[in-house]
Amino acid sequence: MTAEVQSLLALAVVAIAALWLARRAFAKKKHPGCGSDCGCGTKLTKH
Amino acid sequence: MQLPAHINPPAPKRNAAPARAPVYALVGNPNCGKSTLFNALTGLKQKVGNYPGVTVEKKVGTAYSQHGQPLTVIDLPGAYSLAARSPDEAVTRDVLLGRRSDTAQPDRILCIVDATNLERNLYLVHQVLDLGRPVIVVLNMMDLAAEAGMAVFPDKLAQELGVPVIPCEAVRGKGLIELRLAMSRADLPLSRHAWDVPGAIAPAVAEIQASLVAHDAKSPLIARAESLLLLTDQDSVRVAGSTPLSARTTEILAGWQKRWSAENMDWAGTLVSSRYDAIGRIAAEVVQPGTAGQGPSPSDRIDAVVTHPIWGWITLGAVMCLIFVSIFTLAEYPMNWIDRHIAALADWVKGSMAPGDLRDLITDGAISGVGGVVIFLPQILILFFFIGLLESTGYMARAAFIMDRLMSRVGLNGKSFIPLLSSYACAIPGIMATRTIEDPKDRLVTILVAPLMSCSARLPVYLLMIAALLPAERVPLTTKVGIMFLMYFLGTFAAFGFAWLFKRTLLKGVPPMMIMELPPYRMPGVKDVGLHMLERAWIFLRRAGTVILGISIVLWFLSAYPKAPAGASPSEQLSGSFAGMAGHALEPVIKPLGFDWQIGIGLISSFAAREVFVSTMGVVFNAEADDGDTAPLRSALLKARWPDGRMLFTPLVCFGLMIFYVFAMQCISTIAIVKRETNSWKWPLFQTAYMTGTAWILALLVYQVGRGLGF
Amino acid sequence: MSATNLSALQPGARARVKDLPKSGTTFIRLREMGLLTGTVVTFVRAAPMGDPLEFKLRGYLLSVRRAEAQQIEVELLTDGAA
Repeated sequence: MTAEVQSLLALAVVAIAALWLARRAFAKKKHPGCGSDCGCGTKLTKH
Repeated sequence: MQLPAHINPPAPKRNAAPARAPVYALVGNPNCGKSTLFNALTGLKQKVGNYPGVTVEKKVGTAYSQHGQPLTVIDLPGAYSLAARSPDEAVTRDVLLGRRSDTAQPDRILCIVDATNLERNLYLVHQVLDLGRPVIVVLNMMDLAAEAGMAVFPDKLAQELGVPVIPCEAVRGKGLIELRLAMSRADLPLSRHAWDVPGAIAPAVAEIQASLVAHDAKSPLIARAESLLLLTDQDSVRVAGSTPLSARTTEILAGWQKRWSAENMDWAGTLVSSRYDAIGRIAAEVVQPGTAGQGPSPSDRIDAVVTHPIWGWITLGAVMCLIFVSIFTLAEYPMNWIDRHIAALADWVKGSMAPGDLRDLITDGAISGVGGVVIFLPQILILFFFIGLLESTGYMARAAFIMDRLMSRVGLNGKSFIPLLSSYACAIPGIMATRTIEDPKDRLVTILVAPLMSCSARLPVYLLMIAALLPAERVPLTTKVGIMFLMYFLGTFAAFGFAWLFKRTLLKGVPPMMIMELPPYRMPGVKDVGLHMLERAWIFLRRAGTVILGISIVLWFLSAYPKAPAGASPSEQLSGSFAGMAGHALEPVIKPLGFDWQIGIGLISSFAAREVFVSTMGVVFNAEADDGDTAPLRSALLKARWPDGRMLFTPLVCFGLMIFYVFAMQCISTIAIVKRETNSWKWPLFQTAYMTGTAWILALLVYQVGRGLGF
Repeated sequence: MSATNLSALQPGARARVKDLPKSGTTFIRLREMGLLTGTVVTFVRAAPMGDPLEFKLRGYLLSVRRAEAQQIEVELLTDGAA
């Protein structure tokens, strides 16, 4: 793998990570729970 | 009869499932073994979430009937009465009454009852029976009742109440088969228990009931239960997500209360005592009080020491010391093991990939970022192990009992002790634990000061700073523990100080009530403590594998781009990067504290979560390390220099940084939960400002005074 | 049989509740916890700093602050009386 290919792949990974973090922050507002932080776990399925 | 839609919700749209399996709610007094039973019934098939709008934990699990059919069980918070006095109890009340739009009203109710303490436990059962839902009573702790010399007759209780009564020892799993059989029954009888509402109150109950049916769309039975409740539910606790009463019903209720007050009638007292009269008659049939156990029980003997004026303090101090020392000594071996393997992994990647950005991202971003956090798993597990242990044995209530007087000096009550203690693990469960505090101002003050208790996310920062502060391996353990203790002490002291200040200024109030049960000591349930730890470990690891991984990757990018011209040194690269720019922008503010722009990057990233500081330092300073080997972070920090060649992480700076972390509010998750809990941005912003402001001033004092003294 | 209030008992003393304030959420909650007129209560001990107080009633232990206990009228029971 050349340095150029590595740079491209790395940037792609960074973009995915940033998008995912942004989406997560945005989705949190729609479901005001405390997400997956220390105290609380997964979102519940509604009955 | 056609019930309104919110009482009988439509079955979920699943094509395969023929009829919806009944949803069970599990209710009971605190300390009656409710969570043990829930764990025994559902095992690992649990989901922990939140009721929208309140910080009350919502636990839903799946149990299996004897025929393997899945049954949903909702574990409701422990309650002494449906006339709620705390947000915790309010959730239980609202779910049972079908007042919450986010949770369907349960079809059937499992009432768990402590056989050793039948009368008080039956009070809640008595209220639940009014709801007109099928009820199964679980008579738990039959073994302890027998040990106390009591004879409890489940058959007679079943006969009196007209519902199935299952004797059970949840800790040993006894009675679970019978319980599952009862839960699998297609039909469950409704209670036959007849109970006369006192004559003076009956007309009011009837009128409120009629109004609830007419104006609040309640079914008649629920309306009766609710009208009885409204009469004992003075200044009722309202929580977000609960449907309010109609104006008409509120008006009728107020009218009756006004009339009775004028007549000097004790309506609430009359209602409660008529219930206890009915319960007393049942209990007389069901329980033969022990003749043997008149002497002090083992619990009494333990209490004689644990709540003793001198030994009580010594015990409390010893327990706290034990917890902190264990965190340092026991955790060391698994931590070294994790450390070695993370370093080996990074070296392996370096050896097997050609140099380039992707390799750097994996080693300097992902591995050093996630690894720097995962290493603290053993310590977090130990902390949660002790908290679970103290809770399940009953010692937590004694700690609150001992601490109450001290807490009342600053205007809080003993119940704030438990949330504050939990905040040593993490402020979020700590803030969630405030739900048992009845007084709203007390809750708010506790919430405001809880994040000052040093949480486990600060532990990585303290540990790193102590390692940098005392680099020699031969520094005795006691010195390290001593500095750590000082940090925990500072945070705790500040929490009390600010609580005192807030109670005196912003949130003045009457001394709150402090009614607390001191449950008998019990052997801790290994399974319960284990499940609790497993749950926390899973949450922690998932967090490291998702959020922290993401942040580490983004952070790597911010420190690697824009690219410096070829031939630039790693530090020139970092200085010109996006992260470097942000750090440089912050530097004027933090330079008086002895922090440079590189530490500034750490401080900014800490707002995602404090432990990210460690991974940020990993990314920031490993970027300067030699390419061949992953240098341990500690030695990388010690090599860091100011541009003029002065050492960056001097002991004074390390100490100041620790002080800063003790006080600063740097946790988005906590800010979010405080916002939700207080229902406004005012309090989280106030909290962030007062904590971070204090942190800055104190770190400034440490650095400037320390320099003045020649450190 | 001497009348007194709940905060003035000696450790180990048993007393029967005569009267407690009608209003106030604290006293309604105390009733719901089984502390009613006629209930027999044993004073177990005070906390290390003198407050709150620990009582035994209906087979369990309850802690109440001195300020509330003062408002609960009781009559002292001599040993042996139920």
